[in-house]
This record gives sequence, C-alpha cells and structure tokens, in this order.
Amino acid sequence: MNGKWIEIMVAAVALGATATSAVAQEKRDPAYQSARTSGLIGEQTDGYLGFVVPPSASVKALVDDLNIKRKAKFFEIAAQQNVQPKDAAFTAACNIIRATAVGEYYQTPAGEWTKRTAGPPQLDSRCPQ
Amino acid sequence: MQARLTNGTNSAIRSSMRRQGLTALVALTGLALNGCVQVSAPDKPIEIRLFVKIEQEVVYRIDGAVKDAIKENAGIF
Repeated sequence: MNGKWIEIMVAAVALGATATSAVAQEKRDPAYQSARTSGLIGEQTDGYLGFVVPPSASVKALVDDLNIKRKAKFFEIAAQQNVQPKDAAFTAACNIIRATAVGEYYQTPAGEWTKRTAGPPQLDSRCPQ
Repeated sequence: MQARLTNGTNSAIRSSMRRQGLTALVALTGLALNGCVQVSAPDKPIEIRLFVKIEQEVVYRIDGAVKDAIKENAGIF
C-alpha cells in the first residue's frame, strides 16, 4: 500500500512540475494558446516567443505584440531590480521554459526547437535550480 | 635651406651655421627628452569587464521578483 502511495505522490508532483497552472493558461488569448499548442510558436532562450515554422501574418502579428509587451515588462523589472534588461529576460526564460506544457515547443540552450516532454526541460546551466 | 657652411672664399656663412646649429640642438634635445616609445605588451592580461554577460548571482537574486511578475502578467507569458 505504501509503495502505491509513493507512486501516486511522485506522479502528482511530476504533473505539477510540467504543467502551467490552469489559471495562467486561462489568462492567455485563445489565439495565443492555440498557436502554442499546435506547435506554431515556442519559447526562446532569450525570454521571447519565436516561430517554430514560418508564421502566417496573423500569428506574426500576435507574437510581435506579445514580445513588445514582454520587453516592456523585462525593462520594468530591470529598472526595479537595478539590473540589465537582458538579465531579467534571461531569468524569465528559465521560468517560462520550465512552465511550458507537454507538447509545446521551446529552444534548448543550443538554440534548437524541441518538444517538451513530461521530464524536466533542458535549461541553461545558469538557470536557478 | 642653404646647407653650405662656407662660401667659395673660405668665409664662414654665419647665418647658415647658426641655423643648422640650432636645428641640430633642437633635434638632440627632442631625442633626449622623449626617449624611446614602448611597444611591448603589459605583463598582466588586460581585463575588460563587459556588462553583457549574464551573471549567475544576479539571476538568483532577481528570480523571485521575476516569478512574481510572470504570475501577475500571465496573459503575455
């Protein structure tokens, strides 16, 4: 019975570690969420969204808009924390990639698009553990 | 500049002597004062701190604030 419980607990923790919280997903524009799920766009190592495949005009506009907003946020964090925007963006990327859902795309530290699996993503060694 | 120190009749051309003497004096003085120009590399490696590198201690320090910001703006992340 104990062994079974441990299995369930481990599975629950693993699930929690890979999935973005349902709340966070809800806050996304449906078109944005759809583009992520269908593998059109993915998370880059620099904290911004990128194109896994050449985008349509609407997907490009969507991503450009989101990236502008992300950039503003990174600059805001950087000013508050007295660091370079690049540091804020990099730190965000670590968290964002860790929060990608199974099946979504992200860039490995080498810059290759790869599909997220149930295990932990490949992260830059400078990311917090 | 006329380089001759004497004219044909073995008479000293004082103006020429004076001018050349002055030029030589200036040249020698310059040499004595300036010395040689060093064109050798320094002993220690030249350390240039570029603030484009990602410093890991910075990443750790701001991680909490970044997590909060992502949570608050979940729609764009």
